[in-house]
Amino acid sequence: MRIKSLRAALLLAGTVLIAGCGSDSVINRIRVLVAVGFDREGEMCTGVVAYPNYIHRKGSLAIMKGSGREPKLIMEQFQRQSPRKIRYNKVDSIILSRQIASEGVTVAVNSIERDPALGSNVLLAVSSCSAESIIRSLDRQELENTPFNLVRQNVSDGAVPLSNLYFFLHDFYSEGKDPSMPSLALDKQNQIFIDGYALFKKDRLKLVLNLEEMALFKMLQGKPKIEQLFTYKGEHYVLTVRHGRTRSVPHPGTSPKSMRYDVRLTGSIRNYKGNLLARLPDESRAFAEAIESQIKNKLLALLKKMQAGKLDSLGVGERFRSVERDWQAAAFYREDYPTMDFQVNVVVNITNSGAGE
Amino acid sequence: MNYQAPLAKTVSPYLLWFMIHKSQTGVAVLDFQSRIAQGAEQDSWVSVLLTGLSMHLVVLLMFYVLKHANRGDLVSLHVQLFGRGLGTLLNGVFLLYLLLLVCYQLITYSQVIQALVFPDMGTWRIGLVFLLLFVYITSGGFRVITGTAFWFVLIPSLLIVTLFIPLQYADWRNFLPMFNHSLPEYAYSAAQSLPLYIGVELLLMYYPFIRNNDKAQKWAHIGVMHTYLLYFVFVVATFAYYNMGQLRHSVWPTLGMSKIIQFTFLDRFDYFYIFNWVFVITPPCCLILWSCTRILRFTTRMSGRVSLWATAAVVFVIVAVFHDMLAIDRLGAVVRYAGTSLLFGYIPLLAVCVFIANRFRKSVRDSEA
Amino acid sequence: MAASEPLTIESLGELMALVGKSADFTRITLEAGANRITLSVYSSMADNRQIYEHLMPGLQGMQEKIRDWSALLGRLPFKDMSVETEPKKIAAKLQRGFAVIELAILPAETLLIDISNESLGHRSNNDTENEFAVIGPKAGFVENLEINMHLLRQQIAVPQLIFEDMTLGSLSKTKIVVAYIEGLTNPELVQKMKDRLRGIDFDVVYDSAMLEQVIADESNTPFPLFLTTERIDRISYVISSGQVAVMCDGSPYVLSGPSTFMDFFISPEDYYLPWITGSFFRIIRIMSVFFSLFASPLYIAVLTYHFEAIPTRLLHPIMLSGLHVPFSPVMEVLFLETTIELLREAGARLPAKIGQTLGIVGGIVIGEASVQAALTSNILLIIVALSALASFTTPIFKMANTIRVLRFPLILLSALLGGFGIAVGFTLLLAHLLRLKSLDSPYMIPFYPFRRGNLADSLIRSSYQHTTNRTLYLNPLRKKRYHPNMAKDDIDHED
Repeated sequence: MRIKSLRAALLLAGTVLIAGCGSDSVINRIRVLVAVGFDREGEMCTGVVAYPNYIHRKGSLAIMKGSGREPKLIMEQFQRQSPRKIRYNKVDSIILSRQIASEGVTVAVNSIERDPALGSNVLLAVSSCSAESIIRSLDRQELENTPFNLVRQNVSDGAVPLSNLYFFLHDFYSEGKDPSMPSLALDKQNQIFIDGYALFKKDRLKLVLNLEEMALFKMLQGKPKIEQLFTYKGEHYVLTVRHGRTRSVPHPGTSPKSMRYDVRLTGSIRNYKGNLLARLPDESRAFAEAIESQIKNKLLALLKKMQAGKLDSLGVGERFRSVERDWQAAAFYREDYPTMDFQVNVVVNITNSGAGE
Repeated sequence: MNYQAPLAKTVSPYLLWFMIHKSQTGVAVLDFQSRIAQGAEQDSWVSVLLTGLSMHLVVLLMFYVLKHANRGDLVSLHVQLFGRGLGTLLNGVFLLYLLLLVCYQLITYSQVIQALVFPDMGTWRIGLVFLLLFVYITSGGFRVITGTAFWFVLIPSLLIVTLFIPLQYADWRNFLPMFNHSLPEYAYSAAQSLPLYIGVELLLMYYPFIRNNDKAQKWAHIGVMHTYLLYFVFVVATFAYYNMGQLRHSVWPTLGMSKIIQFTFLDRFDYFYIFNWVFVITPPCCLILWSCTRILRFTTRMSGRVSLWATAAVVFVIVAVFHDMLAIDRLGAVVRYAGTSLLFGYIPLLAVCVFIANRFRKSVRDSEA
Repeated sequence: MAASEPLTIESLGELMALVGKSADFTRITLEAGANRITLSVYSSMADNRQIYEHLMPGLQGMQEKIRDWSALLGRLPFKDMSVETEPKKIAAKLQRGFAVIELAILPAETLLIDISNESLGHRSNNDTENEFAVIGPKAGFVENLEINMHLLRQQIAVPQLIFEDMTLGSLSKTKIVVAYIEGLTNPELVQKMKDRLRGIDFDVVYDSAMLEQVIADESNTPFPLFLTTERIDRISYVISSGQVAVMCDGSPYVLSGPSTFMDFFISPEDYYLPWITGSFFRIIRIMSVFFSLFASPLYIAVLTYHFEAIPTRLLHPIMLSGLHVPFSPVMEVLFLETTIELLREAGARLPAKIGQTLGIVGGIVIGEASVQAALTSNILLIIVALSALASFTTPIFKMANTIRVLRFPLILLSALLGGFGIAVGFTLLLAHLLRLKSLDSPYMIPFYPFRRGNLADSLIRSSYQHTTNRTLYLNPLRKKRYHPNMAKDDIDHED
């Protein structure tokens, strides 16, 4: 008897559940957006999206465009263009035009952050040209070619500092650090490439570092894995950094407050004629010293540039917050940061210069 | 004086560890970090640990109280101490509290599901699925509930390993400078972390079902310790992963952390976390339903089965009715407040009552002799 | 017990009149004046050679001399001869192939002589076809109880091995034997098992698998609560670890209990392989259970509700293979699962060779064609085929069937509620398993209630040095199996 009643209840529940089941998004009935670009045209915001088209193109990307006052409204417009449901949960690249970035991204950030549909690994990037052209260049390309993979590859093996939605939000809400993100552009072959690194003051784009500065920026962040050009006795050489470590040491006691970066690099030089270094140990030291002083000067210049722009993209404030018992963000950036003294120590260790004679 | 249920219905004392631990950890693990961080910020882990330590005291008091109950549980003790009328009233209040507690768990978890997975699914439908599940488990009796508690401590514990991935993004300097907060700030964090330990009071109901319960106190302490160590791990991981500003903007920090986890075969590991919480909340809710059933059976003439279905029906109605965000917030606040005052107000008070009653009885006995 | 006894026999005459109606009943009368010897026997049950070579010559010429039974008892060369008066007992023995000898001068008494042909209609050996193991003995139990007892006693050659018999079934009168080891098996278990068996009132006991359901603690469950096996080594293992076995005449399957969930995933082969290899295969088997249960539900949940959980690189193959499928994933899965079930069922019903061919042809043709026709996606075909394969790794067929059945509720739950449904389904499954008991001992031992001592031989099969104790939940009277040092296979042992 009791089992019968339980069974009846379960059956009832089952039918109720079946009856009200409509929130599905079956994968082959939806259009999965993978990359989004936003531009501003006067009052309106235009959005261009790329999605893999499986019906006509065997999975190569196709483009849609829409406009509206709010990103959500643009989505609604896409919905009206498409025979299938639009789902943006798998968007991995969000490209903002420089115009939007310099006018402030708070609204965008808030709506992105509140949206549980997006993962934390999403790439945020600004575009030097219009975001639309960046996304349009993806037309008929493979899914693999989205800016997300481009940047990720360069983060793990190149000179691009680590950045994604998580890091952006982390810095955005941090009291002692300013957010930053890669900057993208199109070359003449209509190919996306990374053309620099965009530094924000809170929600506004202030400064875009060029490629060399971006590499130095990554060096200061801690894990450099880059190629660095330098001159020695009038000739150009390239130092390939195999591994390196940067330590930042804040000195809150000094006046003005100072910050020291200890950069240790281990690398090799490939285009040096002959295996000179092995034969001439004295020369090798001089070589290293040349590299050290050149890198030091460049790093100092970069730090001064950011200081002058009142940008703290490296998180100097965070470092001082962690050592001062009552650190105040406003006072620090008003009084201490503009006058801060930066010191850089570079130690370079050259291991070899290639395999051939 | 120590009462124990018939041997066949009891469970081994070591299971007290899992029962205590499991009844304390519920939906709160999803979102407690942002609440406690409002006070002592990066130092609030101290408050979590300290309040956790204070739970040992609560456990001691509960064991003291229970040892002097005729039938080994709170409902009988109420009647024994305060008489039939007042005792039944107090039992009713306790029942009401338990009902609110289970509703709170269900509604909060439904909110997670609605916000993150199924925006269109009504709370009542999630509640219905859960309640049918709970009724099935609870009707299996105390041993089955203990079994689910045991398994559902072990299975979600595997998730702790995956915290390793967000910790690769950790900035351990977030904890610096240490101890730069004032006492009121620690106190605020402590007050916010007290509700994390709600649930331990269910021991007042299932104590007679623990074999050799007078000697089982060790396991209860281990259970409490497990709880605050777990919270500690989560707090540390969260504070290392988020900075304070970010934490202030996170609704469910634990789920937020899981969003960064990616595998080559699985993007979006957060779903794993979300659905794992089915396992996390099931044992405490079943235990609460079981306790409600015990109270009803003790105070009314209802059979176990009827009282179980009745309890489930009441919970369902409450869960289905609450829509308003404000009301849900208030419900959470009420439950937290009630639970805290139960643990740190009522249980000590009860201990004092038991102490006085014992003294009184002893002096009566002495004078008679 | 005999509530539904079909008929009662009051007298010998009545019995003879009744059995005389059967065509296979033979009645031979040797007459000599006043005395008369009557031999009655079921020719279908008795060994006819024995009748004509030993019994008839012994009786011939005796009809005049005979005055009482002792003359006959001395003369006839049979092992089992007894004098009976009660018609009921006579009837029972007659049914089993005994010859009934009546003397006209002693009308109330009969002599019963065992000339039954037990091997008639039976296989003499059984290759363990259904529970095959590559390594280890291949012979299994057969349909004959005597042979089965013989086989078991060959492996456990101690006088403590007790076979207690009883008769079950109001029509079949099946002989049931409860086997255990005196002084090792907990007497409570034996008593419980015997009580349960005695409590049965059933008409025909066809197989021990049927008994299993009748004596089970809980009938509303898809899980087998007692182990039934045709392997001799398995039964001697469970008996030697303190379980009780029940053999049933006419069934090549021997039942044992109390069993645990884990018992059904253990193959005797685990013990014949080195412990590392054995453990590896056992883990594979347990993982395949999970795969088999959750693979297609996960496919449905992910493709229906949580598509963002698919990595972008995997999106491509999934989309391309499932693009033109007109059905929702759940329909697709149900279609394929049903196909596999049909193939399995058809394969089981057909003769072995045709069944094999059908399996291959059906599998390939239907699978290939349904993908070609865009009715299912390739990936799902792989998943469903793999999970079907995985479900057959379970050594006990009954449990394999259970797992196959359990997928369907999980599929429905995942179709309704996605990942949430799978979590709920898992919880339900676990709660159900926790509720189960086999002969009053929890089904989920050693995991819950947790028994550390038994973990050595559960998920992994530890080396023999670590499995010196018998499984404790059975409360055996002797805890030690052997001395660990004597079972070592390394150098340290030489002291």
